[in-house]
Amino acid sequence: MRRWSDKSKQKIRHSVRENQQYLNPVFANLSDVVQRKISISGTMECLAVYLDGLVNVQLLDNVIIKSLLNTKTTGRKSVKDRVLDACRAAGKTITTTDRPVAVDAVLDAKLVLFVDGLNEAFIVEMKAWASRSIEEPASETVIRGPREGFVETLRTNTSILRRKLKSRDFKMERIVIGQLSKTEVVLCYIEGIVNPDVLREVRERVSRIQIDAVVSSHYIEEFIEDSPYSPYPQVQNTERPDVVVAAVTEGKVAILMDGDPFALIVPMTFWSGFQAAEDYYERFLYASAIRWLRFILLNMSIFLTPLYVALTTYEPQMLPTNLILSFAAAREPSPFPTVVEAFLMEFVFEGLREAGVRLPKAVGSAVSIVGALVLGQAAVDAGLVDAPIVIMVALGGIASFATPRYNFGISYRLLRFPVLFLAGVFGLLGIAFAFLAILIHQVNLRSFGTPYMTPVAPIVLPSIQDAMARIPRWGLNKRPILTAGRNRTRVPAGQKPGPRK
Amino acid sequence: MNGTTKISGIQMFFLMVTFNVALPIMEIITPTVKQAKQDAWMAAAIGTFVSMLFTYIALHISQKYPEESFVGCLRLVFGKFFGSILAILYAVQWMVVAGFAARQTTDFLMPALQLYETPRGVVLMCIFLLVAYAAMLGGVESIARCSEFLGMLVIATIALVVFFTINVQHLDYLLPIIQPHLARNLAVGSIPSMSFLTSSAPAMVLYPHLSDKNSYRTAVWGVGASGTILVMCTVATVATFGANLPAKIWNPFFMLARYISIADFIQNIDAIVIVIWFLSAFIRVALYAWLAVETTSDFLGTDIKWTAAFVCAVGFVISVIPASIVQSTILYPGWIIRRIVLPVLLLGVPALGIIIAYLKKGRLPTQKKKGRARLASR
Amino acid sequence: MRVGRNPDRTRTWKARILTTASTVLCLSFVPGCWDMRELNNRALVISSAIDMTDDGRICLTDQFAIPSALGQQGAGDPKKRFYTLSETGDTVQEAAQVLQTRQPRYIFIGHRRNIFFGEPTARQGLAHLLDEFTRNPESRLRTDVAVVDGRPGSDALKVPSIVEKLPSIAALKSRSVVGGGQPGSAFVDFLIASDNETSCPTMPLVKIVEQPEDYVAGSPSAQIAFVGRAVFNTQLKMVGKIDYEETVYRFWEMGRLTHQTFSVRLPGKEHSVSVYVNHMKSKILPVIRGHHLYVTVKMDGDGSLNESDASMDYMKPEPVKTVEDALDKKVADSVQHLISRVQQEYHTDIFNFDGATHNRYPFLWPSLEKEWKDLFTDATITVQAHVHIRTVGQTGLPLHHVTV
Repeated sequence: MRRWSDKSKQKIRHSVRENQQYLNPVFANLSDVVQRKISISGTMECLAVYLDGLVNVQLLDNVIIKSLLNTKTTGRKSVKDRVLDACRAAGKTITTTDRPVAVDAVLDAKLVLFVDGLNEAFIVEMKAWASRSIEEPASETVIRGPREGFVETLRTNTSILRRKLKSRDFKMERIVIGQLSKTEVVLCYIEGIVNPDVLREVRERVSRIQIDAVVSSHYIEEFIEDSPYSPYPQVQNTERPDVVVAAVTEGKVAILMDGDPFALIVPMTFWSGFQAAEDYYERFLYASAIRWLRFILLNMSIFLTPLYVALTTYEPQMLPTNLILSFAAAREPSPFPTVVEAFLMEFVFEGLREAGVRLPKAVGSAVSIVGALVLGQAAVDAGLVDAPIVIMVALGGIASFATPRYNFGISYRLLRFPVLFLAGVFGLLGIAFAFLAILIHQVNLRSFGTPYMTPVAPIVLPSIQDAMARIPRWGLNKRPILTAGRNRTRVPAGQKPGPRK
Repeated sequence: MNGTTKISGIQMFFLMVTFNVALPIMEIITPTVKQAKQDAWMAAAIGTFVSMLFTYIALHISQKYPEESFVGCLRLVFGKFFGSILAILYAVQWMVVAGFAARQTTDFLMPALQLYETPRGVVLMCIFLLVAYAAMLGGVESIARCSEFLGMLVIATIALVVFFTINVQHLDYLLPIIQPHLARNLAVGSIPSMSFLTSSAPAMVLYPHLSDKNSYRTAVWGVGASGTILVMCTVATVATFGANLPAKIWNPFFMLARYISIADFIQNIDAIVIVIWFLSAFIRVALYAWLAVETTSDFLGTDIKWTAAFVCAVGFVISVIPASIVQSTILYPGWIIRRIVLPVLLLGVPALGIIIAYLKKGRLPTQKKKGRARLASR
Repeated sequence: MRVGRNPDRTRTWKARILTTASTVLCLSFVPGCWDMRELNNRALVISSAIDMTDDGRICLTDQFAIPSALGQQGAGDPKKRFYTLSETGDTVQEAAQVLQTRQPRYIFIGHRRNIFFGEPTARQGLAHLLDEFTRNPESRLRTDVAVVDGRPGSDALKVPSIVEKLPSIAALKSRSVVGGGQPGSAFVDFLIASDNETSCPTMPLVKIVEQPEDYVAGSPSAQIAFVGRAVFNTQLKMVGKIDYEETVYRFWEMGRLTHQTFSVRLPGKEHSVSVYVNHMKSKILPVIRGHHLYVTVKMDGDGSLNESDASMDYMKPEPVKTVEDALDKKVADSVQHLISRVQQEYHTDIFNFDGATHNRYPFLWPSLEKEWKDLFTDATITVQAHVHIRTVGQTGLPLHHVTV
């Protein structure tokens, strides 16, 4: 906008031709810009400018042009009012006298109408573009629960959310970032429930971003994290509108972006890292048990292989005698030290996973067959690696996939290598060192002012229950203290169901 | 992290529990059983009670000067000169204790984990690097949060060890309760537990960091809880090994862990217990180091982070000095701690301090209850 | 609520220092792995035996497992699953050191489940042999110890087991099956009992038994059998043995036995019955009068009658009473006999009378403690036993015809 410094040259002229002369160089080489000259009953010259494929052309033809044709030219109404009426029938309309505004509006997928004799342009919102239909998100599937997921279109997403929260307290603040992309970003929160400090911080951090183009929500994530060097994700992401709704009702802030079906949710805590949406749609006893199972698996994914290495090479007296004999028997022909074997197998495992993720599905299954059956079995048979280490690595790998949040799982998977290294050097003591280092790091992490390990370290009394177990709905009376603002009560107490006497 | 770091009452509790559980379990049971035989648990209980009392007294002094830091408090109570001397004494003592606690930990840990060739210096360096990491990153906040997490883990582990050895415990080993010279044995036998559990001065340093000053009693309960755990462990140990054997073993509780056999499958799990115990011992080292850091930086007005680095370096050097396990685990606690530090710094100063504080300030106007304990945003 | 707002420069500066420091640290660890020992670099000692040579040196025999012979696909020939090596030295460690010169792998004793002493060695005394087994942190506390009846301890290591992967585990298991206490507790029990001046320790006594009637594919086989306990005095010298039945009674008397089957011959008739007894309890009531110790031992338990060759109808109360009385008398007499035999022959208190007296007379105890051996030897013992027969099995009279 700042490129045109001369103010007088930027005004829209009365003559359509003059305007068009101005527009032609601006839109040179923009093959997707359509400039359509329309003559209405020979009396009115119009120029419609829009981006091909982003504007509902049928509306232009059927509503605007038709109503202009139908209205009588001789009325009390001025030309401008007539055009305005016609445009308003098609969509939200504003007028402008500035050429650059008009140009920007075209690029923003709006219809811009120049009318001969008027030094104003009409900007009509009648976006219509091809959008992926709403589907169940592939990354977070549930067996029971809503099956809709976000799509790449921001307004579709906001409409889904609004349909679930019909309150005027549910705010959607709009921020535009990216010099080139001019991406629309929306902050969703519920006023009165959101912690105002968190909200102010989010707003500040998001609007601070200076970047050319925002392609994915992860671009934003990297700019707003607290500790960029940490291996842990400090911003939660989800494709599920129901997860976003649950989060904002807890006082969190969701960040939606045009062009990416993933919403960001802040602040994130460690415990939300392995909670799935499903948890809240199943019976709470089962969900609590599953939550513990995931926690154990998460720890297994990082400590199992190192523990095996430490136990067999440093503390073999800890294992039962019969077990150690089996391990020893398997180990007999093996040429590598156990820790090297473990590193090799972890490496191979990561390689298989990576190969499987990137390849097309048909080839991917072939990779897993070759990897699992041929490589694993043959390597053991050939005596290159021993069977227990293959079992441990495979178990650890499966355990890391049990984490519902993919980005959370990979951060843990990465940590396994330094832990393995320490276990090789110090045995169990090395694992203790690693555990302490991870713990110290975790308790000092913050996500938008909320300690990462809340509500376990620091202990926050009513909320700790929800981290330890999935509390039934009627028992979850208060919102989490650290994220929520003034309005704490969530479910009025005393709703535990039971037969009436 | 500039500005004051705050801890909540719950964190204070867990800090005290984790702080007081690790080394005592390793080092109290043997001398207590040596003195009080089958009544060792009573001696430990008495020691716990006295520790709670003095911790409470110390906190009472702090409460008279709620706005003051530890050094300020000492200066106000004992006068500028003596207060400063005491502050230096405490700071030095804590630096030394941090070093010795780390050393005692490795002295016990490394042979038990069969690390014979691993250089002790490397292990100690790792410990002090972690301490520095914790102290520099978040100060007492990070230590307190770690202790919340580890405290639960350690308590659970100890409880499991005691529980799983129930089938080899013979409670009749605890009989007869009456023995000749009971009173004297109990009094002398309670000294080791007293010297480890009394957390008067540490509690005074922590007090200004409490987000809710009225929750200071949690520190006393923390000491009480760790004392209870200690009594439980003493009972389990004596009931398993009798009244004579534990007096000869360095670490009877780990012998107990080693004696566990669940379904003849899970055996010799002492290494796991030791590792979890080490986590708690780490908190002790870290908290001592932090106490030294806090007092030093308060006294000299130096930057916390650089002081932390300095204290960790000093602690590391001190920890490499002792020549053998006998020096670190027997001579030092026996001579320095029990004869000088316990009577003077841990018991004497708070006792004297409370008297002086009362003389100076008279009875405090009763504390206004500030309503429900507010959970600070930490 | 503070957010790091440091300029980027300090951040990268910090990060650089951190990265450099951690890299240096990691590099310094690379020559590490100081104590790592691979499993295929360790020789797993499953059992040890200690014997004294004629010239007073210690002969250590270690039984090692052969892991490759114990592979996943079931073990091969029982005799090829292990091997033993023997060496002598002045201390156990010295012998082990010499042994190591012939053993290419690190000797690892963390899985030693059994320690055998030859009877001659036990009679010479164990006091100077035991320290290594408790002081060495690698050594396993949950270990069984046993004295080998009449033979050197090393002989017990050469007996293969037919079903168990390793023979020592077989010995461990069979001891607990026959009611000798939890596997692995024998050593600690021995240590606890040996640790005061008054009580005397005992140790399981095993014998290498070869029954010609046994059938085992291949060659004739021997088994390690539990035949009782070796009784030691306070100097830890073996002074005698008690047989298996006596051991059972002693465990009952000490309250350590959970269940056992007793067979008793009914009075006046040529019939025997077997009674399975559980919930066994015992109470020791010592009384000091003058300079004399009177001990009353009260033992009771719940029985269930499992076998009877008499044609008696156990649906009636009288026959049951007969059996109860016979059993009570047998138990009381046996225990009485056992205690008086130990009193007269060994003068060793292996019955926990000292503990009971200590509890009863805590103030008198220091003076009693000094002359305990005499007090015990002269003590008057009364044994009262009672077994309540709660069930009599599935039949009243035997279903088949019994000729009287």
